[in-house]
Amino acid sequence: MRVVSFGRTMLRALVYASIVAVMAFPIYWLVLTSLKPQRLTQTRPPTYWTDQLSLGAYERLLADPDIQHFFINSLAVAILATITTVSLGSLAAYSISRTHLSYRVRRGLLVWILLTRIFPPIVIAIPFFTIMRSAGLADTVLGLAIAHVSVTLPFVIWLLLGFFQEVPNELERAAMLDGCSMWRRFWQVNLPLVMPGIAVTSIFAFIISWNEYLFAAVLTSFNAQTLPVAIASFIGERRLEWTTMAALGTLMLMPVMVVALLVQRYIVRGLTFGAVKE
Amino acid sequence: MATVELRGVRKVFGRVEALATVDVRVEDRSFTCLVGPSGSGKSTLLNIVAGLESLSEGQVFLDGTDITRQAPAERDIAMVFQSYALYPHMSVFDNMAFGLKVRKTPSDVVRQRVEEAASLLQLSDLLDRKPRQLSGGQRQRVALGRAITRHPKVFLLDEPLSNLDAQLRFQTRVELKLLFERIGGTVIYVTHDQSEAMTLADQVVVLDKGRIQQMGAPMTIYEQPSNVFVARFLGSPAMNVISGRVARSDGDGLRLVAGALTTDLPGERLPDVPAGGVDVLVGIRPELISVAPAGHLTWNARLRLVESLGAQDLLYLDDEGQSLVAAGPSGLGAALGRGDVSFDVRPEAIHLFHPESGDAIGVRHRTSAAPWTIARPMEPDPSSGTTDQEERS
Repeated sequence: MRVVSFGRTMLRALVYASIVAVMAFPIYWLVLTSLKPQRLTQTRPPTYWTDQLSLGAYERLLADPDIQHFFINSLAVAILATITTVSLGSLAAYSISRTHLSYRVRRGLLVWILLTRIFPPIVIAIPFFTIMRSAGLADTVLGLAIAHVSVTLPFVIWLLLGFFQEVPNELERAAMLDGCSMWRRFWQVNLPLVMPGIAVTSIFAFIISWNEYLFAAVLTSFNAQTLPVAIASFIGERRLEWTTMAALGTLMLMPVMVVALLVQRYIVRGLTFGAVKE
Repeated sequence: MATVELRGVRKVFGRVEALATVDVRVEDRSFTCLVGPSGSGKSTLLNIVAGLESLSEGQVFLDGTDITRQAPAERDIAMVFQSYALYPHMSVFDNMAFGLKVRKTPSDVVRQRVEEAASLLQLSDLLDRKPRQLSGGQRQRVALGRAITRHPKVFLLDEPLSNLDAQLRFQTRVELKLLFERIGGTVIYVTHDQSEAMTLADQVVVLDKGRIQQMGAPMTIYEQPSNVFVARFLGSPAMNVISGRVARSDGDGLRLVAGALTTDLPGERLPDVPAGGVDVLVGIRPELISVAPAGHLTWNARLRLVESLGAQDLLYLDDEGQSLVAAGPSGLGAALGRGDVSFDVRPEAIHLFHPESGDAIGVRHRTSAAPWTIARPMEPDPSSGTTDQEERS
């Protein structure tokens, strides 16, 4: 018995270790590349470790006013998009969860919301560009944030819907009898109870916007350009600045990693919310 | 405080009729229990009064004003939910104050009302707690407190005791009765527990399958059930219902035969019995059957089983193939032993029902069609004494 269970434990450990390795290796490689001299980035066989590490790429990037500008853009777009999406999404999710709709209408509505996510983003990128230009929003933080809202909103509505549906209907009824308007029921009864959901959803929305490349590339040139586009801009015609790109990628990764580590408790709770009855 | 009246209220869910046309009047400061098995429509009726459920037909009046189209928030009605529905993120104080704050009550009044209710419900030490830190009984009291602080016109209670354990339920039932007597509220109370209805209510409304089976004072319904359903639903243990036959005997008299039970009934009890006799259902309350050793009383039966409840013994009798439950004093079962016994029932204790419809026959009873209320506090209705029980309506 003991031998079998020991063997099982080892096997399990091995499986977990390989999963972690597969997930973690690209990050290791990214960080390593950012610290390597440029000439070691393309060796054959690959250089898995070297003593010639340097923070030179970081120093150059952090001193570059353009990079600072792009970083602020990324942050502004992501924050603006997140606040807008979560505000609109929570209102939408609340009203869908509480309105007496027939099954078909409700289902139709939800599928329709999701449908906006099925066509390739490039298909709407071009119309978006035209619309933004004629609205005077091309190459602005606001314009890009609006585009990002269109990407994150369906996702946020679906995610939040589950949280709102978790709030017992009797609370809603009690609040009605206590004299609350729908707005007040949303604001004072439901919202405080779905805060873990709002937190999780906000982080997801933030990450989607922070990482988004396509719309950022199409809708911005310099004024509102974000970090993903900046990274790509180091792909020159004759050479690729691997070290710089990797360093910028690492810098981009850091805020997201820090936030994710801080709130991972909520994320796990959020993802399994409703799976078991409390 | 206020009167509530439902006129011709009907509720249809898709093709299912949850409530057939219902008329109920609830008097000011009275305690009305809606009682029935699950699916009887009692909660639907309560939700209609609260405004949480729309109705398909009919009107709801509060103090003579038609409130059918009013939103729950406009009705000045408070409700206590089965699950209590306390706001989990608010303290006990805030839970109780919420309804008042929403209605923009000055904060000193809010504080005063909450403290008043809290001392009434022994919650004064718990005002800072969150609901999750409270026991079931405490939560239940907070839910009551939330209703009381509002000083609403009507209190609606939806099975408020069903989540409590038996001991606490019994104790809380007594406290509820005293509480509402003290604050003098108009109360509509939904329960599936007949004992709650019997003990708490001034007026009981018995519902089954979306229809009012009977309405009236608890003892009136208990003594004069209008059909087999009501007869068996109220009272514990339930009324015995066995089949029998009534035929004319010599002269004006009637003879009832139900197994070994053979008794004469006055002729006016069922005047239009045909010459060949008629099948009936015979209802007898267990506590009105006397049991003694064989030969001591009128009829013989076999004692099959004894259940001792402590205060009383339940005796399961076999009356020529039909079972009868008798409730006797504790120790009676042991004294009798299994086997042959004798039993007796006074003719006045016998209820007769139609074998097919289940409606009471030959017993004066009130029909559910007429709105019927009783004056407070529990004055006996002069027209419904037990003496005229045998009169034909």
